[in-house]
Amino acid sequence: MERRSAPPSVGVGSPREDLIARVEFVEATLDSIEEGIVACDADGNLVLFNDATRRFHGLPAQPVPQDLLAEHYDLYDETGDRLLTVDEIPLLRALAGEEVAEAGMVIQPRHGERRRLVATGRQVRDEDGRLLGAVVAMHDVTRRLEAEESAARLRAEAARQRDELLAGVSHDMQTPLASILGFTQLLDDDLELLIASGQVDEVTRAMRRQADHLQALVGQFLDYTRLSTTATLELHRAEMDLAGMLAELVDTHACADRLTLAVDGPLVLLGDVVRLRRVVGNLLSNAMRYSDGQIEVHAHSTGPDVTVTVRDHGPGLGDDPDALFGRFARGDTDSDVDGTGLGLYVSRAIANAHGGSLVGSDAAGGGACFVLTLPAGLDTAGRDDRDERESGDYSPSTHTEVAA
Amino acid sequence: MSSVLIVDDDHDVRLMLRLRLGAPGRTVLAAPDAATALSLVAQHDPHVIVLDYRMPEVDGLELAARLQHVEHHGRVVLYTAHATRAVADRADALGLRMILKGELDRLCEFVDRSLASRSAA
Repeated sequence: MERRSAPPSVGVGSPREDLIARVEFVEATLDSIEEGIVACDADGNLVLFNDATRRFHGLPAQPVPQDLLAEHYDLYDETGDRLLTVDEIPLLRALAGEEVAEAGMVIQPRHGERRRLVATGRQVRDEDGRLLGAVVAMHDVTRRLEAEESAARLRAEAARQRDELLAGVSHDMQTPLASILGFTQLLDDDLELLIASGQVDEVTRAMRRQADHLQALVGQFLDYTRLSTTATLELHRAEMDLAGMLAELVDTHACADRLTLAVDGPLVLLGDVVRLRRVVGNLLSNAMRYSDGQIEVHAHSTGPDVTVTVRDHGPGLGDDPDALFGRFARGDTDSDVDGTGLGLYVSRAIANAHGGSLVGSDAAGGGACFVLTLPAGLDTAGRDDRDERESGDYSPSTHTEVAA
Repeated sequence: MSSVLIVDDDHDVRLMLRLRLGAPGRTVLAAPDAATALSLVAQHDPHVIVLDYRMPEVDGLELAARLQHVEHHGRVVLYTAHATRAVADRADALGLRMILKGELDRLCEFVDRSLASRSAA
């Protein structure tokens, strides 16, 4: 079927030439559309295959018995698993008088592309109502369905991550909560014994630590939620003494004997003290979790910045330390390892919101090393555009800002 | 004198369990890691060994596996916040009793019963 692009020149040639020109025009039109068009005569013999249909099947219209049509033209059901039966073939259904509307099917040629189609068709009758045959238009929906399915997969993946996150959050809360409950029972049942043995202070300090830990977990989760919904963290900055904060964190730590703190110079900066305490606390608990030995905390001022380094002597961070800062990342490939994997992700977001950074690397001589860098933010230029309103806070100046 | 060994890397959990599981006539030992635990087992052969699952370097299940190759008479229990299928299956394979961190009373009962059955024997 040679395609001609010339329009039919009606009335120019003989009636026969005129007719040929019209037929060629119709065929050229059908061949130029995206939909596959197929038609049969009243006996079910294929009489028309446009270009798209030939492309779908990889075959031209051929005289094939109806019961071999599905096999010959690779016509499968919607799932692509099963050849269509004769009375499922859209063209024959249309010929039998059915209004075929968007019937799903798959064409899977042996040597061609698998396509998912929807077929729409009906009978063709002449002006007097005599049955001439049937016509079906097939629309290729492969890409649309693939896009829909991939969107559905993404939604399912998001739901799975959300479920895992909730499980991780409740799991993380379990340990401090169980400890607090255990201590509470002790205070209820054995207070006199505790007083006699002089352990009340130790117990209340431990309870305080576990409650702080619980609060930090909640704060981290809330920050994660904010980051997910608005991609920003609203900082509550105030002038703060980083050296004092580190000393307090280290002194009150349950495993203070594993921590060595070295601070060079006064380290005053403009920061969100609650969040920065959480960031350093998270670095310390990671170091405790992934290593057995000493942990060195070093803080010093480097010109306009303040730097806190937390170094352990554990197995280190492996080949791709930056991957640990991804959402839900964990420093262990063991799927049994608990936790939300949010700690470093949220911590880095907090560092970034301060205009600083948080990076991890393997330390020379082994172990992991995390470096938190924060701008001191106390320079004059910085002060000028700062909101100087006094709040009820003890801080000399506070202000709130939103950082991406 | 009966004895219990607690192995948990969390200082505060060790403190809480030491106090909760302590009783007259009972020694409660505590270790923050596997190496200390193995040395305490060698020295004291405790009657009950309570293992946390999540610990750096050697976790509770691995420590339980190592304990199978060590001369001792303790009943081992995994006291864990991890309720995952995989952890439960591995605990089963090692013949370990597993008690969740939220179920402190069950742990106390388990320790009491284990020690009582030992004195009765």
